[in-house]
Amino acid sequence: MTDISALAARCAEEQSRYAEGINVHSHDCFDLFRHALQEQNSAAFNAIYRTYEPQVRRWVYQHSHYPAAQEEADHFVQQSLTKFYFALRGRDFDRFEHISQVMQYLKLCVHSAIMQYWRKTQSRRMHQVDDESSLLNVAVSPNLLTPLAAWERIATLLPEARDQRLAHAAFAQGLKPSEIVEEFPDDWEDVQQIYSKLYRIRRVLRDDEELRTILSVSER
Amino acid sequence: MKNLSDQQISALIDGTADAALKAQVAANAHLQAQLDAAQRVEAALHRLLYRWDCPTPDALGEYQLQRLPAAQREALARHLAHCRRCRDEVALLADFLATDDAPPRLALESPRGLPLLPPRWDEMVLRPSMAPYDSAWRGADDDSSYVFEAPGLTLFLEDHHNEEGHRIEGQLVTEETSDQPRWSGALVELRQDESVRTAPLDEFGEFTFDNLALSDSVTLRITNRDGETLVWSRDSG
Ligand SMILES: [Zn+2]
Repeated sequence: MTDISALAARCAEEQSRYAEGINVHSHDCFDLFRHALQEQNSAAFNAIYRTYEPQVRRWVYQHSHYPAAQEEADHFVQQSLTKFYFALRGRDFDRFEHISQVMQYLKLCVHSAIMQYWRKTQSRRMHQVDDESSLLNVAVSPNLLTPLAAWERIATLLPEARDQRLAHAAFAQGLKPSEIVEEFPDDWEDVQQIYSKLYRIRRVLRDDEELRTILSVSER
Repeated sequence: MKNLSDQQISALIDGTADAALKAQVAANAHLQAQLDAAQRVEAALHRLLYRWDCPTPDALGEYQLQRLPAAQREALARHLAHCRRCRDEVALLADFLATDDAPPRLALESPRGLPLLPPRWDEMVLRPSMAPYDSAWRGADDDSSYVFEAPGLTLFLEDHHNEEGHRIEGQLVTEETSDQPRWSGALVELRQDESVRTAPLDEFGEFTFDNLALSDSVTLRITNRDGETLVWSRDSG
C-alpha cells in the first residue's frame, strides 16, 4: 500500500522547486494526482489541494480577467480546484501521461472558473437599464424563463436568416453594431444599416404578445 | 411630440440619441413611459438570451485541449464559426495557457484592492438557525453542536475536542429527498488562515475533519458538481 503522506511530502518538495523555476521530472506528483483522482483517495486529494493551491492562486492573479472580476481570489481558487476535482475524479485520468498535462488541465480550470464568473457579470451589466425602478416592473416567473422558447419565437417573428443572425449577434452575443459589421461583412455594409434594421427588429419583438409573455414583461 | 418613433426609441436604447431628444424625454412622462416599456423588453431579451446557446467555459477549454469526442468537437466548431464571444474566449485561453507558469518569486498578493461585489451569485450563505448549545468554538473541552440553514438545506456541525485537537463532523441534509443526490460527492473545503483541508461529502451527506487546530478565522465551503457553493464564515474569536 502506498504511503500517501510520504508521497505528498515528496510532491510538495517537487512543486516548491517547480515554483522556483526549477523543472523536475519525478513521478511523485503525477502519482499523487493518480491516487487522488483515479483511485479517489481523499487524503491524496487533500494533499493535492494544499500543495497546488499557491500555484492555482498565482494563475488566478495572472489571468487577464481577474482584476475586472472584482471577486476574492479565494473564491476562484476554490472554484478552480473544485472544477478540476469533478472533471477528473474517477474517469479520464488515464488520458494523462505526464504531470505537465495535468498542470495544463488545472490551469484550464482556473480560466473556466474566472470566465464563468465573467459571463455572469457581463450578462448583468448588459441588462442593467438606467432607471432601476423600471426593472421592478419585470415580473419574474422562472418556469417561463426559457431562452430556447424565446429564441424559437424570435426565429418565427424574423424568418430571414440575416435578421436572425443580427438578433443573435445583438442579444445573445451582446455585440455592438460596429462589431457586427466586422463579424458579418457579407450581411452589412455599415453601422447605419444595422441601426435601421435593429429598430425595425425591436419593434417587431416588442409588439409580439407571445414573446412578451415568454419574457415575462408586461406592456406597461 | 406625441410619441417616440421606433427609430428614436432604438437610438435612445443604443445611446446614440442626441441631447435634445434625451432632454425632451426626460421632461415628458408619457415619452418616458414609452421608453421605459421598450427598455424593459430590451433588458429582458438580454437577460434571457445573453450567451444562452454558448458552450460552457469548461467545454471550450476541453475543445482547446482537444479532449472532446469528435461529435461534440464538430458541434463546437460550428458554434465558434458564428460566435465571436466564444472565439474571443478560446483565444484568451490559448494566451493564458501559453504564459509562463511560474515566474520565480512571484508575489502572492492580490494585485488590486477593489471592493467586492455583493452579492456573490454562485454562493448560498449558511446562516445559524439556532444558537450553539455551547458558545465556544475553540479552546473548549466540551463538544459543541451547530445548525446552519440555507434555502432548502440544513447543515449540522459537531465539534468534538480532545487532546489531539478538534474533530469536526458535519452532515448536510436537503429539505427535498430528491435534492440529496445533487450534493452527494460534493467537495468540502475548510480554510483557516494559511491552511486548507478538504473532504468529500459521502452518500449520506456526511463529512469529517480530524486533528484540527481551530483558529479564529474559519471558512467552510461545500461545492457540488453543478458548481453550487454553500459557505459559512467565522471571523472573530
Ligand atoms: Zn458562443
